This record gives sequence, C-alpha cells and structure tokens, in this order.
Amino acid sequence: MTAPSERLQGTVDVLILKTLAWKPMHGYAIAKFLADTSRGELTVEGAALYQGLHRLERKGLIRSRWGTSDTKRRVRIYGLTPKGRAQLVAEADGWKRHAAAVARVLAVRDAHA
Amino acid sequence: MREPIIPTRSHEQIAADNRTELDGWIEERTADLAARGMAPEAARRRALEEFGDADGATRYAARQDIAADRRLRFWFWIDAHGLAAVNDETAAVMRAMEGMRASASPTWASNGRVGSTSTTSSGVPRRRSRRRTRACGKPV
Repeated sequence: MTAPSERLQGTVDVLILKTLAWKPMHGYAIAKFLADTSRGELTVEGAALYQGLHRLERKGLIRSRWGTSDTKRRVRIYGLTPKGRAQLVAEADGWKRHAAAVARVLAVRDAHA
Repeated sequence: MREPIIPTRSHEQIAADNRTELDGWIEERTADLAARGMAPEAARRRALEEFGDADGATRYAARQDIAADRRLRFWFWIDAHGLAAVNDETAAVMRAMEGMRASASPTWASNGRVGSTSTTSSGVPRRRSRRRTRACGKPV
C-alpha cells in the first residue's frame, strides 16, 4: 500500500506532467493553470509544487531553462521530456482506473437506504 | 583523452538559482494580487503565506538538484573516459585497498577476523598453530 505522503507526491507529479504536456511553463503559471482548470477545486501549495518540479527534473521527466515571463520577470521554464511524456501516459492510465474504481465503490447503494 | 565539458553547477550556484526561481514565483503572485487591488506589502505577505514553507522547499530542491548534477557528472565522465575506465578505476581502488590491508599493522585474516601478525626472529610470519578439537570440544 502506498504511503499517504508518496500518494500526495504522486498526485502533484502527475498534475505537473499533465500541465506541461500542454506547453512549457514556469512554476507559478503551472499553479495558476491547475487552479483555473479545476475551477478552484485543486489548489496545490506553492512549496509542494516547487518541490515536485525539482523532483521530476532529477528523474529526467522534465527539463528547465531560464526565460522571461509575460510580465518580463526572469523565470525558470519547465518542459516535458520524452521520458516524462511516456511516464504521463502510464500514470494517467493508472489514475483513470483508480478513479473509476473509487466511483464504482461510491455508487454502491447503502443496504439501509 | 577528450576533456569533458561538464555543464554542472556548484552548490552555491544551485542555491542562488533556486532563490532566483522562488523570488520570481513570489513576485508573479504578488503582482497578480496587487492587480486585484491589494496593497503591495499585503500582497507580498499573502504571496509568501500561500507559498508555504519556502526554506524547506529550497532545501529539498537543492538536494534534488545536487543529486541530478551528480548523475550528470557520472554520465559525462563515462562519456569522456569510456565504460572500460570504470573497470580500470575499480581495479585501482581494489589494488589500493589491498595495499592498505597489507601495510596496516592490524591484519585482516582471510576469515575476516582482525589480529596482529606474529613473526619469527627472521621476520617470517609465524603460522599460528590452532589446536584441533573434536566436535565434543576435547583435543584430538
């Protein structure tokens, strides 16, 4: 069974990978994208996201370069590597199966209802 | 031999880069909050609060970056020297360890026990006579 902290890291990691599959972005832009796309349901704390980015870069799943943001600030822009794209496909499948399994359990009617 | 060009960073450079990245993040969020009408000071405070444990995060990030750099250095070294060099280096380390083992005053017996070498008057290592015993512990 996966430890809660590992599961949380895994969640953050797959969210980062999915966001970067769309286009390369800097950390704060990823946080904003996640909040906007999930209509405020998913707010990942900056520190957790920042750690996730460095963890994924160490694993070779994403790569960074220095660039300039829309507001002309110096930012580190992250992009997906081919290895990261392959990992995303594998992880996304796992998450879909997991979500479907949880949904099936939640759909079971209560015996006393 | 081809000299490797290793695009890796010092620990200080990693820390400085991570600080710059974090500052950029906070500035972006501060500007967003200020654009929504928040006072600049309050916006910066709020941005820092929302970010969470900045010191812990930069420490974690530095550890990840150092590990990534170390791996990169290894692969650049392999690229420059070839895989065969790994065997050469391993052999050199083994020889050095053998040398240390031979020159050290306490000696490691082949069974892994540590003991001192006893020599005869001519300097030849004395063979230790071990009394053979029966399984029951009595001398043979």
